[in-house]
Amino acid sequence: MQYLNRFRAVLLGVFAAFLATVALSGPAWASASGTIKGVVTDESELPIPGALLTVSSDKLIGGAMQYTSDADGNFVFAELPPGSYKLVAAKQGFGEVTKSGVTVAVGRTTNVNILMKYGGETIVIEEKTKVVDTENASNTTTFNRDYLQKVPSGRSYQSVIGNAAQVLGSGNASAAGASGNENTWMMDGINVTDPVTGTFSQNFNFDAIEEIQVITGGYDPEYGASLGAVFQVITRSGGNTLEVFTNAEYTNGNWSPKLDDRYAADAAMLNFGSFDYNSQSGSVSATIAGPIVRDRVWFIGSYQYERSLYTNVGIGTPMDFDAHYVFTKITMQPVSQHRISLSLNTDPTTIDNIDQGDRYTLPEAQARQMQGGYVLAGKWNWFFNEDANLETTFSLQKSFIEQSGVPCTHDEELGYNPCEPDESENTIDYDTSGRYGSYGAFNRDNFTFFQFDDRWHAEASTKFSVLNVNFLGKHDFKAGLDFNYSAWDWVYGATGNMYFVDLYENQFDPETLKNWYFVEYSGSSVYRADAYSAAGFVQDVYKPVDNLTFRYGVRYDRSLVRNDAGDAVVDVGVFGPRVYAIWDPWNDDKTAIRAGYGRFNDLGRLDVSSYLSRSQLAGKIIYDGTLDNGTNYASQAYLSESTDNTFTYGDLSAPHSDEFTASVQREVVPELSAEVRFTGKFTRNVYTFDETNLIYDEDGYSFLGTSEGYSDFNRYYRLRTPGIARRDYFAVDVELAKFESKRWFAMATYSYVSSRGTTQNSLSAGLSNPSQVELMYGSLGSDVNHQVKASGYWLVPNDPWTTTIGVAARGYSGSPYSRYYWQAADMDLAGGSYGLLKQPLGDYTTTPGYWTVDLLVQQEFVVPKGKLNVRFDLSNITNNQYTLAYNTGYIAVQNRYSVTSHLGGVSGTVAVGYTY
Amino acid sequence: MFTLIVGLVACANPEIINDGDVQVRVVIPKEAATREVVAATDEDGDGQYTYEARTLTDLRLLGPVYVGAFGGMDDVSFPYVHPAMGPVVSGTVGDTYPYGGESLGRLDFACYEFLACKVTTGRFTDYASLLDHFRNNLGTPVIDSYGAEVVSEENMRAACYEYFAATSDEEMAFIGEDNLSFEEEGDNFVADMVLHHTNRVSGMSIWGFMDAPELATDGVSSNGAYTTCNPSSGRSVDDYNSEFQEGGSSFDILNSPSTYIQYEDWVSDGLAVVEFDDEYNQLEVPEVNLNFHHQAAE
Repeated sequence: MQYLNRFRAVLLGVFAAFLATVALSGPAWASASGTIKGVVTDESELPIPGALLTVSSDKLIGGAMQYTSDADGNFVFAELPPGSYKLVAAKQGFGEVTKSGVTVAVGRTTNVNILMKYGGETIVIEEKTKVVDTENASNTTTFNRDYLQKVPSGRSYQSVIGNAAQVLGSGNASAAGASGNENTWMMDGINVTDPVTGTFSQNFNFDAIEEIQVITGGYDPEYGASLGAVFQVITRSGGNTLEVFTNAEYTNGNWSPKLDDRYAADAAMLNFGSFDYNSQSGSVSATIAGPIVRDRVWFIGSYQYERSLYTNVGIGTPMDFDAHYVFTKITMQPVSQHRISLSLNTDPTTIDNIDQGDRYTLPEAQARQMQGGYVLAGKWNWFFNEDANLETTFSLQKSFIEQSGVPCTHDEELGYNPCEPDESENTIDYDTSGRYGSYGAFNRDNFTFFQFDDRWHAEASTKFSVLNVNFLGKHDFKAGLDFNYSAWDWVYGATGNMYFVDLYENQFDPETLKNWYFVEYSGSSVYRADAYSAAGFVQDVYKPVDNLTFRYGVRYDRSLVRNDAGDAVVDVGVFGPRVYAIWDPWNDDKTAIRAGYGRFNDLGRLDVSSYLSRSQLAGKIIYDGTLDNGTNYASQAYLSESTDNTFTYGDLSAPHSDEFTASVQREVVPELSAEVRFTGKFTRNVYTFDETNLIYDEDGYSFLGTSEGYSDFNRYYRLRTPGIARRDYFAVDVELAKFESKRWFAMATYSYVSSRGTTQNSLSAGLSNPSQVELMYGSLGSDVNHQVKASGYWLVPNDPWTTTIGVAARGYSGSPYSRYYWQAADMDLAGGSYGLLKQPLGDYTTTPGYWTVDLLVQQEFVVPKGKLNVRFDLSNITNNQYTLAYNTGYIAVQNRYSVTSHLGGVSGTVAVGYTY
Repeated sequence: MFTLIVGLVACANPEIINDGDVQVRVVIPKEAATREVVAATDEDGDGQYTYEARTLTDLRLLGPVYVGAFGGMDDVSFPYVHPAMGPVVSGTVGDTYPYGGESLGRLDFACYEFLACKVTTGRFTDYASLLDHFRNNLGTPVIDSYGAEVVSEENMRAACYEYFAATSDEEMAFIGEDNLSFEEEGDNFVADMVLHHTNRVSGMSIWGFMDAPELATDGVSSNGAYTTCNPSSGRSVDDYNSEFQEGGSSFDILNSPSTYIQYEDWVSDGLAVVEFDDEYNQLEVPEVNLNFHHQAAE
């Protein structure tokens, strides 16, 4: 014991050194494991020290872990992979107590208290699921493997996250009022967020996923720098038993009602005719997992092939989505002190004929997009002793997007871009300039642009945990360091360095086709940028008494994001303090009253730097005589060649959120918890980008001039983070969660949300900060006041064949929309177009509310050496097709916006799986 | 102490924004809306009009008003007060001012080619008011693309809805009780306006002018047009008629205003200085008096 105390002293010294020397910052570590904690007591509620506790699970590599209860009878097991565990307590004279069915979930602490009787015998107790976590303060929803398999989810983690409260939609969803590119995406505790866009970057075979964790707020300092949610995928690791999963599924979109016409904002149908389409998709996948060396080396290998075809009637070239998702991982624990895992995920995808939204594109002008990437990740857990461990991770990530014209083919039946007779199969033409159609004219000759976009991210991090430290109560300390490097290489240009714009002088009348103008570029643009960041955090989980927990700590992030000229666009060092308290007033593990504050910072992404690009395309516009309105630039220098018309307005600060949370959760009846949560989140200094020198007319339709001069191309843009660029978010969640027992599980949440502010944007791909009227305050797109989520499953009692019925329902009230007015078309070349806002945000109109119900029915058959699983997955079974969003596209002809996005109708998937 | 330092660092977030809104009050004498116009009357109701010149005071005769914030005044080079030019930075005269600006009323074309460059927003309450102004005040009735006079406000509404694919009058910027820019106040019309997104410099001068409509006395089609709107250089709107020009405003109206100021226009008579405190709060709202009537020498 003396040795142990000395060792703890040393560790505390290291910890103090962290406190004193933290000077760096950066994105993410995060927990990919859970914890079991508890206290061993006798019948008189006196602690039993020296009891030997053993925890084991088929998810725990390295065999059982052991802990000897301390002087207060406390014990703790950390870094446990999620799963079901058996906990055995043994003490001479007290016999042996076994608790089985102890559930461990990522990021949660499971309290298991053990009562031992003197002279007692061996007893086994089935532990009831702990539905209330009395040590954590975060708004966390965990979807375990049962949920993923039994609740309809579209078999993608991007879809599952939408079942969590305060997550609006799916994919790159808006979470807790933030933008879709302000979330952190993680895989096994490693940050895999796209370093350029801040969006997800990886796709997985769904069968390779063990658990999905969604944290929308209240997270500890160890979690990274994001203003939205943390979405984490925990992958499977294999085990001592060989398992094989296969899955094949097919969806025919033609079983669904057809999507329909374009609508005006006020639901009046515009004269665009029907969008009729044909879609089919399918996938096959196989996963094999098991032991290489029992208890020492496990593996998993997983592959999914996905293909879908989508055609708009009138376009003979279907969009052809062709993807391969490969995931492999080896987990080793050669000795009890060291656990090592290495994983590789890759998801190369080719999408031919990607532009099906525009049916005025001829086959030779269609585009191919290749995308995907890989993450190579390693993790090393070093368990110094029962109470101290060090986790070190590294990752190397690459993502890419390439766009070009579709390769040509000699196979006429494909209907793809036909090759010239002397042209080789699969040749991509980078020399022929495309002709872009306008006002009903077809896009033809070639795809207009090409791009090669490569993104790299390398990260190394380490975190050190010291658990169960006695100092005026119990402490679990954790501290970490993290280093990141990201790079972006983006080449963008026009095929043949030129493109033409055609139009039908009389709309939709091919007889009146003529060239309107053409644009010539001096060459491609090459944008190379990089970013460094480093971070440090310290945190403590402090329990002064058994039923009160404080979680507090701080992280410091240092971030440098540079543009292609090497200028530091983002150069910030920021602190993120967090403090939370959790009180279990009756100390019965059935109630948690939580409150806390946290600051969350956005450290910038590489696409932020691109707004100060010094590598813009330099083009000049040449009008054809028929529409030459006296402005002919043929003799002029290339426009935009001067790329110093963008600048940062003062030093950028880090956009940040101050978040206040409070909640009350109670296990009202066994295994059913009711929770009410409040979230208040105030985001300030959001990135904005606008023009400084345009003078508009009263209604914001036209420019009167520029304050810097006569030329309409002499315009100046600024990137800034003003305090008035802000969001105020409030949410109240009411949640009921029934954990699985008696063959069923259910969870339901209702959220009342208010999301108002001056900008939802965070410099994503689209940019619409109004420049005429300075950041007007109003309802943001995420101001969806009423949000209802409900999901669950029921295991129909008809053994030996097992039928499972799963249901997922989501309902939203409408989303507010603003009306923007577009700048003059003839100004486009100068720097892209964006809208002018005339009314307070969100005042223009509101989309109708909508709801969907998805149903999954599966039948399991016992077959030799395994189980066969047949599934019918129906989404949107009531065929609701409400308006989801207004198209941001602008119908210049009619000078107004249209609605094109409707909720997809009912669709069905048939799948067959086999588990060995 | 550590926590305190963390808190202080976290809260320190200096921000200096000198771009923002500038409030301005525009005052224009009723005289500016008093013009000699040709009235059209159809006493027999047979569609045959007789024309008669008369003097009329009518808000609808106010043209677009352009106001900008400038560095100073030049009261020597022109027969009216003209903003002084700042230093030339790119070799182009007039390339350094104004700091910002905006208009009261924009030129709109209101569904019919005939109306291009003749309709100023913020002057008409409804379609009938617009048709009435062109027929009875200007003596040049609105005509459609077939040359027929547009007499029914319902017909005009239908044409506008079709053209703009609109479903409500709220989407029509050129009409509406709430869209009127000016209010009557004694012998003047006054309007409050905001120069959005202006680079605020204490001591800068506010100056402006009103482009008065060109009034023909012989009922020609140019009757009611504005010099700040040149149909030959505007954007084309192809689904109506590829030759039809919307009539976008010229880009140097506030950089080279003398190019546009002609006889009959009304020009600010002097300086209206605007001051800001250290935090760019505007100390008072300057009045821009457009009471210099630029007339041809007798």
